[in-house]
Amino acid sequence: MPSLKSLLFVAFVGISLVIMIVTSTLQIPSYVKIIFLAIALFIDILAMSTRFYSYLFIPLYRMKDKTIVLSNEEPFYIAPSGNAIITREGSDVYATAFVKIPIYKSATEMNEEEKIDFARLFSRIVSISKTPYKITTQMYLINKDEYINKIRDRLNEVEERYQKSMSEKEANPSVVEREKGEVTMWHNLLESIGRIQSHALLNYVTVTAMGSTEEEATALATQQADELSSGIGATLGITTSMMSGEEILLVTQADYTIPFSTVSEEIRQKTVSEGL
Amino acid sequence: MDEETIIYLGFTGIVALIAIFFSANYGPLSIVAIVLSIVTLIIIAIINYADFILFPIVTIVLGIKTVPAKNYMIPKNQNCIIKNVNGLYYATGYLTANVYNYVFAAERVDVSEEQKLASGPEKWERIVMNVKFPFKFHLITYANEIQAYREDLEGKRGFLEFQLSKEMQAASPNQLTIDDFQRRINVIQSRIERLSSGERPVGSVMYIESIAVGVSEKAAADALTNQINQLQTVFNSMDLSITRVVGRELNILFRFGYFIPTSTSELEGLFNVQK
Repeated sequence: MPSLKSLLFVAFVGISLVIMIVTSTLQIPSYVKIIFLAIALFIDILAMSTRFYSYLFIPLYRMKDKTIVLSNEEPFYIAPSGNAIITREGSDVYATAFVKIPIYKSATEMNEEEKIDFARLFSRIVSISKTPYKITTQMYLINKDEYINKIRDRLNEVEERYQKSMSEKEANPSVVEREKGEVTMWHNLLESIGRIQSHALLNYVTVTAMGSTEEEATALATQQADELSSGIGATLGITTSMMSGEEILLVTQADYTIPFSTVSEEIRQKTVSEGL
Repeated sequence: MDEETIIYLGFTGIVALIAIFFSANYGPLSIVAIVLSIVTLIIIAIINYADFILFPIVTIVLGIKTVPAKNYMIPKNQNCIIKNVNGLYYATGYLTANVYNYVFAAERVDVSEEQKLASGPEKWERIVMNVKFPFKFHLITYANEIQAYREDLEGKRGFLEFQLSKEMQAASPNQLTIDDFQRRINVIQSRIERLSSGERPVGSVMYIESIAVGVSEKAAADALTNQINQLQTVFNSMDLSITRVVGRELNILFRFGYFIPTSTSELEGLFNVQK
């Protein structure tokens, strides 16, 4: 069955040719002929654009408020097994599985020969399978959200206590002073934690399988991931593992790569300093 | 030029050429018909070879945004994908990281291969140490059929040898052309030798992704541009051909975050694969 792309191309080329031939042979004023020629050539350009942009034609037709909506669905969802993500493209179901590759070696502690050996081993990894797979190195921010939220809660608590003490008529000055010091301490701690970003590096492999059902695609993807995992593990002499749940979100979602609370303090400080 | 390019360029080009051929039918406005047809031919060529220039121009002029998925948005300048989470904006951008430069350098068969291999891990670590923001380096790869690849190389070598002997037997042989043929034969020969030594041929697509955060769409997009410029600078040491991805390919790379092509033909249809 011809694809939408081929159908659109043939239709546009055909319409363009018909308009051009018919108008050039008709006995009508030249300026009318030129208008029709411009329309025919515009349709010819549309025919060429179907090569790369056929997916845009229907959403473009439905466009509202100058916004082309290609999809209103979430880009993926996690499979019930938790170790793969599912994406749908028309009637096809794709499952993608992720394998973590923990490499703790550093070039600084290797001699020339070891560096060459390591590079050779890596070259072997890139030719391990005939099915396309993706090797990724990701640098991300370490999630300090939980720690920061604990400090915030503590800060709110001591601030509240300090305000209460201040409003009391017979407050003990030494207690008020101590509480003020505590507020300053938590403030400083929150600021310093928010100011410093800690990074981590993660290596992983991604493999995708297509199936007619979610279960079939997931089973195929995890099987391929297992094969890759054992191949890479044996080549590098490391223990690889399948990623699941939050680990998958860390490599697929921007807000997990840069956690919200971890950066919010830095952004707040930046916004204040810029006077926004 | 592949089959698909020939079909698309051929048919659409013929339509524009027909218009030039019948321009006399437009009477006093025949010049206008020729000009319109030539402009169409130019636009067709731009769409085929440099659509990344034309597409953002169209979206900027018409102010069109694209929504590739729920909670994601591609702004009109088509250079990043923005996600809004709890009032914070995350902008994701991509850079191609082709190793064509590296391959061309490596194909100077006299250069020590071992030296290059040894410097790789160290260069990579220096890059990681110099980057202070999140980024990802992706390498989509697959192994090629050795026998088919070898036969392809031998075929190419045979054709080049034929061209070389033809040039050498010419009445006035051009030394520059002879040198060029010999260099290309050496390159293919060294690839065949590498296959004989047990190396497997691979196809690969490489790209870099970076994410920036901001309190507004503009702040996130500006921070991302800043990060991408820094990445371009630090990755210079790897001798990569780095270009920021804009337009149609941005959406493809965004989808690659969730699934990658399952067949080599599908991948080769989307990108120029490095072999």
